[in-house]
Amino acid sequence: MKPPTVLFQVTAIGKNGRALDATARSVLHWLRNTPRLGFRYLLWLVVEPEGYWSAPALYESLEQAGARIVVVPEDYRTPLETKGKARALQYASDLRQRLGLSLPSVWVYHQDEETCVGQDTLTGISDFVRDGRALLGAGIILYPIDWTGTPSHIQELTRSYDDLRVLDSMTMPGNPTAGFHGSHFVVRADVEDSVGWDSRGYAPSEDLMFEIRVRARYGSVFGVLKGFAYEKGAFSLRDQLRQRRRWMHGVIFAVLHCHELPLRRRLTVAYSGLSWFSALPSVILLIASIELRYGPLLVATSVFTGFVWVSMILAYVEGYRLHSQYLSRKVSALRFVANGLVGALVDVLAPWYALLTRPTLNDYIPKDRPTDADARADRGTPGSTRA
Amino acid sequence: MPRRKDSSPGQAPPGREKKEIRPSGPTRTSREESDDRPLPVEDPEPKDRTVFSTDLESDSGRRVTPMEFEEIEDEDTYFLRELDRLYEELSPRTPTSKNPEGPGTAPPSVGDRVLLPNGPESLGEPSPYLEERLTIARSAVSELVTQSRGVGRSLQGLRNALATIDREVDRASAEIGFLRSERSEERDAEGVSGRASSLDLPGPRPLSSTGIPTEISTPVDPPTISGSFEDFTLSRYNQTVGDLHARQRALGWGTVVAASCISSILLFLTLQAREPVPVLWLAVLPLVWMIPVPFFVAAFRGTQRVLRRNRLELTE
Repeated sequence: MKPPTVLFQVTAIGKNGRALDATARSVLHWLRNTPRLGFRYLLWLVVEPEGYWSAPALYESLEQAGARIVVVPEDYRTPLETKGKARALQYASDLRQRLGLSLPSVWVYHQDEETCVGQDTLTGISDFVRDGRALLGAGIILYPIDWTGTPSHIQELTRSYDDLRVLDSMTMPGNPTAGFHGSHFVVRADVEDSVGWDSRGYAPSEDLMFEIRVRARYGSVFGVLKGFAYEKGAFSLRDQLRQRRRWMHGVIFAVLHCHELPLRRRLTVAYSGLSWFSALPSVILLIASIELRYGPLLVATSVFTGFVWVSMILAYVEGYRLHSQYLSRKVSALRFVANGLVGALVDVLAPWYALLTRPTLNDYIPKDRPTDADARADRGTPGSTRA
Repeated sequence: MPRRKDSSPGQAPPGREKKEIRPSGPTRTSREESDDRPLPVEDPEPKDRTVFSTDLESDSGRRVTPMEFEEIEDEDTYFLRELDRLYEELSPRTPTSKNPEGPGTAPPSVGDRVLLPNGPESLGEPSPYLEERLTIARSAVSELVTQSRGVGRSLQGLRNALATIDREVDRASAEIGFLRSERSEERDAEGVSGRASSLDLPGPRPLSSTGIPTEISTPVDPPTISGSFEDFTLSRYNQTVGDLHARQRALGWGTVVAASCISSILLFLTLQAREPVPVLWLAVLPLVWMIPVPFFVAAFRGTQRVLRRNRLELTE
């Protein structure tokens, strides 16, 4: 019986050089500083050519540090001609098969370019792959890196608490509330490679498609991955809006175009999207309720309103408590509430914004915190924009 | 100003005095010396210089006359006095040093005059060599301090290195224990076939595509405001999820109680409003609020269930 190998795979465009560097080095650092890890490891950075050429020296230094740089060839095409991140993931899958790594003893841990790991992440992965009962595991993601308490950052706190819902839903048959991650999940290589990432055209939420396929083919083989992953939230409200737009387009794409999706699952995915859409009308109705004077009707709804409000407030409070060990910057309660309201408002608007606009292939979210040099360059170059 | 040595009791021959107290370093020019004091006078008796400047043992073959012995004794006495005086000069003093006989009853010491240039005139001026001596002594002390700091740093470095070795040896022991237990488990799994274990690597290590382990470089600190990856330790994780587990019941019941309170208040306000029944098309609008309710209920149940079923803590 061979000891398992864990392939840490960071899949990204590669333009957020500093974030990618920290991610790769977090893996190397904690592999060296975590005792009793029961696996061998590989570290792959799967990037696009433009990402590589944005900082070749950085990639060379990471290669010297122990990472393998996999640049997806520009002329690489999948059978279904998928685009975006799914194309890079499929290329890595093909490469694993060519190298003979598509084995039950090989596990792939998926990371985004800003997914740093900790000692707990590696210990959790070690426990998971040595246990081996579940074929795919996902865990809780925190967002403490570069956290400054902006509206976007406070809004991200709620995602960490919501991950508990995600973990439960994911491990239940049928995934009733449609929970999954695009990062911080580990999957057996042969399972991933048998399912693949290829889909027709551009799939905005390739992770949701992947989860649907694995469930359709292997059933309820999902488990809870202990240990956090550590990421960073969007730096601006605009980026937050664009990120949510991509998610909503992913939900719409899955409902309309994913053939593997059973009807029941299709309904639950559609319902989760509808819940999100209902947020904006709810807020508008709340504001207009005084003028509309439909008080008697609230006799029924008010019973549940308290529960919805408490659940939402709890997500912020508990999200913050989950992060409190890791945040060096504290914010006042007043600022927390104000920024939380702004962040929530953006999330309320996001699905409707997604209906009006479309994400593009070059629509990537900056994860490198703007430095003083960047700010100077922006000021010095009129009209310059980040991609 | 003539050089004065009368601050210390006893006299010594002028020639010897000059030889003994001349500073070793060329810190004063001859012009300065001529301004301050008489030029040094060469020893008129070369014999004395020989006696002083050479080791007595080297003259062990020659018999020492009583006169010479007296001279040597004088020499020694004077040398010891000088040492005492120097010791007094260099001993720490402050202008407000306490006088054991009460204030104003005793003159300040020579050293005080150095520190207090405007001291009583009647006590005369300190030795013109004093500044030089103090300068030399200060430089020597500062050199000593520098050297001792260097030694201190070296010792600290050694201590750190030893602590690192100690820590790494502990870790290595733990790893060896872990690998041995792994190996025995593998042997059990492989049965009695006697095949060599495939786990022959000392812990996790990188495998390149060619199977050659690669080196790991020292990580570079990322430029972060908060949340450097080195802070993401197992103990912090365990503390966080431990706290979360500890308040699982409180979260559940707290949510129910708080939700009930808010709903009751809303219901009370609604009933108190006594508003007229709205038109039908408005009646359906509040149903929009009901859409996410099943989702929130499922999320609440799921959160409670996942915390109840999974102990998220990891073994340290």
